[in-house]
Amino acid sequence: MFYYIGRYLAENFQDPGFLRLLGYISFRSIAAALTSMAITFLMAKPLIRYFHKRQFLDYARNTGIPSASDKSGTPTMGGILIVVSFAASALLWAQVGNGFVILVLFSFLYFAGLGYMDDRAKQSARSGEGGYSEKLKLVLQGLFALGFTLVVLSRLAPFPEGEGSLLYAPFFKHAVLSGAVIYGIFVFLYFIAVSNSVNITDGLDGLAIVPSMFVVSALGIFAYIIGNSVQARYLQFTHYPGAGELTVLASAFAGASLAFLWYNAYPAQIFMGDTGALAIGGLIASFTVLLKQELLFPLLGGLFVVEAFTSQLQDKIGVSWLGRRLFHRAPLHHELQYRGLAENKVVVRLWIISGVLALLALATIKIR
Amino acid sequence: MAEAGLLVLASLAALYLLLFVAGRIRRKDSPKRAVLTGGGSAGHVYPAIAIGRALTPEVSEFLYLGTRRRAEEKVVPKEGIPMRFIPAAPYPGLSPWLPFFALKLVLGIVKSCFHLYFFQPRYVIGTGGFVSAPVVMAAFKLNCIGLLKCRIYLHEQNVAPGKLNLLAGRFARKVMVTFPESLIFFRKNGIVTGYPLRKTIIKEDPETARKKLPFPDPGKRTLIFAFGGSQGSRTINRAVVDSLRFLLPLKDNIFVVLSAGLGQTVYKGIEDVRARLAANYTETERREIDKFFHCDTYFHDVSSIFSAASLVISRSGAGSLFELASMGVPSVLIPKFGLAGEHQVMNAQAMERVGGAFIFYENPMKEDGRMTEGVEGREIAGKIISLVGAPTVLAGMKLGSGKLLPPADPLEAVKMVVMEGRQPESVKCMPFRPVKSVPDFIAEVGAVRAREGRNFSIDKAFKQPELDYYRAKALSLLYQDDWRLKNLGVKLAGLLKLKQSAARLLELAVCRREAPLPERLFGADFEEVGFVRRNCFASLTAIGEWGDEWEGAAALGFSDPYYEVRVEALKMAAANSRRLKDPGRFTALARGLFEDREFEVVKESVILLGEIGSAEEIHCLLSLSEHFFWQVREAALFALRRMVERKVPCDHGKLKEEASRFVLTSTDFRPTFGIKENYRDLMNALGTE
Repeated sequence: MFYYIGRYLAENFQDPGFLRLLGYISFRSIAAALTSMAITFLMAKPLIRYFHKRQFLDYARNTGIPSASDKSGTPTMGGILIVVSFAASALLWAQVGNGFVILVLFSFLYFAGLGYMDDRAKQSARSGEGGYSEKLKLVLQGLFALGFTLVVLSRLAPFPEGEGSLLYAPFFKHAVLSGAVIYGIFVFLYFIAVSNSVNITDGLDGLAIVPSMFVVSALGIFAYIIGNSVQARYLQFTHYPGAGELTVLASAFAGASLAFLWYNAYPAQIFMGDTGALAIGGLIASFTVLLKQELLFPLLGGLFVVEAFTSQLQDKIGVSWLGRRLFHRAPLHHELQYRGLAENKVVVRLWIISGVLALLALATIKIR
Repeated sequence: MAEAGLLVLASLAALYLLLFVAGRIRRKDSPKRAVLTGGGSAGHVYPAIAIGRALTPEVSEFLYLGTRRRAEEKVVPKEGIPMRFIPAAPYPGLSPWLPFFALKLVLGIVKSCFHLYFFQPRYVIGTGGFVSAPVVMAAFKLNCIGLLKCRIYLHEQNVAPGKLNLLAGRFARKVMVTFPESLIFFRKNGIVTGYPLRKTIIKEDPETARKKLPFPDPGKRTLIFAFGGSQGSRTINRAVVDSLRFLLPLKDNIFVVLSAGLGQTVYKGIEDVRARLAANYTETERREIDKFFHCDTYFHDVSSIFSAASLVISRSGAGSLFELASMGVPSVLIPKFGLAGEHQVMNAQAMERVGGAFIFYENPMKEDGRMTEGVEGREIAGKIISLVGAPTVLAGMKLGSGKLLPPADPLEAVKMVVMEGRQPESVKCMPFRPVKSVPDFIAEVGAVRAREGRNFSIDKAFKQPELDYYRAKALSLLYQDDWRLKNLGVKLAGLLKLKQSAARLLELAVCRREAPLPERLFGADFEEVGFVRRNCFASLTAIGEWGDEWEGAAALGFSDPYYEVRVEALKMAAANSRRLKDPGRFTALARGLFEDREFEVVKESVILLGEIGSAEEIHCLLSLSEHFFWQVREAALFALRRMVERKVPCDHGKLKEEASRFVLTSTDFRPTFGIKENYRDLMNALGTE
């Protein structure tokens, strides 16, 4: 919003100095981060108090791990904090007319809405088992993924002509795959997988939010490069004009996450719930697809991938089919807890790992 | 475009008006017409016909709506009721068949609409079964739009309503139920009428009845009648035949009559009975048996038999139970297991609650090398003998079974409800708990145990009749092929501390037959999956018995490839450490497990050593002072303390010095939240008042 105000004022009035700043992505990014942080801090305490009053407390599923049972009584749905501050900050500081921005915001809000409905369903049932069934969630996510895929393949996509159906890989300058149908199917499946992986990782205090911040921040850097014609050419990326606005969004998210972490760190005062986890998943998924960095996700978001993978393998093959556990516990963070690491230690160690992975992912910028 | 739309609308309106007027004209004499629907199985058809009979002569025209290739197709035409068929299918759940089901349902509703509209009945009576769904829905919808003016009534035969009646109940004006227990499912519109019997069974004086019996006069002997429906029941037939051996001594006091079944389906009852008699009894025995046993395929006139009988052995379908209640006959009931909602079990429990029956649940039995379900002849015989010798008990049961009856005759009650809209005299029901699915029951036991803590005893928390069912269910589950069902049975057996399951649990726990290759590629090991083997050990520990096979199983469990099984086997040994016949062997085995690659196994073996180890093992435990896993170090310290408590001879001073070398850093801790603890203490203090 401020971008448009600034531009209007600069065109019609005389003061270019400060207003020109508003045109720069870098300035708006920092501003967005600070704004979202401020909004979160302002909202947090009243929201936590409100949740306690209305008894929006977490009903965790019985996992049999001792420390998990102490979490009952902590309010959930704190994702609302992230959603509101991110959306507000994005609307204020990003170019809302930009195709990239619209698509990412749309994904974010749709999944936030889906997560919110699931959380409310769990509240009414007063149990962790009462939320939407896995099948229903998959169907709703699939619907959105389908729409998103179609938009990406069509002319509505914010990419330049012909880019829509290309698949890029890290280390390679040129597209690895080209073909609307295959790419379409891939993106559809990828979207669903990624949007769920954050939800699985959200199991310990602070575990999901920091790696998300690392991932989105790294993607913000990618966005800046891809959106900048000079940098893109220098680093041998295909230039997508307008993609730089995603940097503003990434910063807004980083600000919101840090502020959320203030309250979410162990022992947490509030959880993000499905509202936050699914929203972040949608955000990351759309980010990576729009920047065409899908194949970077196994490295950049390696933590999410491993968590989701172990969880699905253990559940679908081990418990449901073979009748024995394949891992001691799943997902990954439960396995680490089982082996005797305190919750806080697990979280910090996984932060370190995801930070290293983010750095490695950034390193691939140069290694092409 | 707009004109075309208007034209369509206008013609639709005209059509509707036409239908409306025509319907009203046709409806002039509608009070004489009723539509009956219900089917899928005979249990729904006969009550529908009976209700139809109850409504005559006021209702003179009937129409039966059913599906092809089901019970109603054969039965209804024989009664002289016109029949039409509509498409219908049972609900398949969330599966790929769902769209086909939806399509069939829509077609069924449409066809029902046609039939209902042209027939314009005053009454629509549904007795359950999936065919009544489209009919009831169609009737309801036509009512709403004014093309039909009918009253919808449903009848539920069992204690636990079928899925259909539960769903359709809200469309009906009233839901007539057989048992007062069913009222909790139909709070708004349920009414107790009882079960409308097709043939009125008249109670006769026992003396006169005896003269009319269709078999050789039993004289003064006590008459016992066993039957399993028109097609017979293999369980009942076999149980009765087996019981004859034990009843031989009473051949001058009792006379047993068995209705083996018409043999119109796959099961040929009378041949099964004859074959079994020939196989299990000698010539002389059979001649003796013939003196007090009579068997036939079917008995048409059951009135006299019921009137003369002192005891009946049967299944617990709603119709049979009601016949028994009407005649006031004590019974031994063998419910059919595993039916939807366990409705036969719940019916039987209702009869047991009023004191009219004893229940025998089917148990797994070995027969010709295969496992089947049945009841031991010896048990039936035992019950018969004890009842025959206790006439006061039988008299009490006679009275009890009558309590199942509503005050008014069911046929009268139905007529009252349907035609006059009146309420028959209301009945109170005894408090009861519906039968739960096994996972739900396990969850409930877990919740109660969590609440009660140390004081928990399953026999105090739940009533015996309820536990009897779950005991039988657990045994039955243990012999299922699907490992998930077996697993449920194992867990249930442990919760119920079911001693009879121990042999089977031991068998499953040490099974070494390999799993099929595809599964082994993914990590499976044996045919009995890891969870089952693990839970077997856990349940055996819970049951708390011991013996040589137990000790052998535990030792075998130590070398199981799946680590969770090793853990549970170790726990079982540790729990029974004082009963071990050969503690030395277990000590050696436990020491061998110190090198196990799973730390949890090492931890449990350390704990076991703490219970059975002697002075030599102390240095083993001390060697763990720098183990990587703090859980193992913690266990070692615990084990050393146990040894000290057990007064194992050792030098305390030296031990103290060595123990202080233990590495005590840990990567985990248990948090205590002072505020939560204070809250808990406050709640406990308030709760104990």
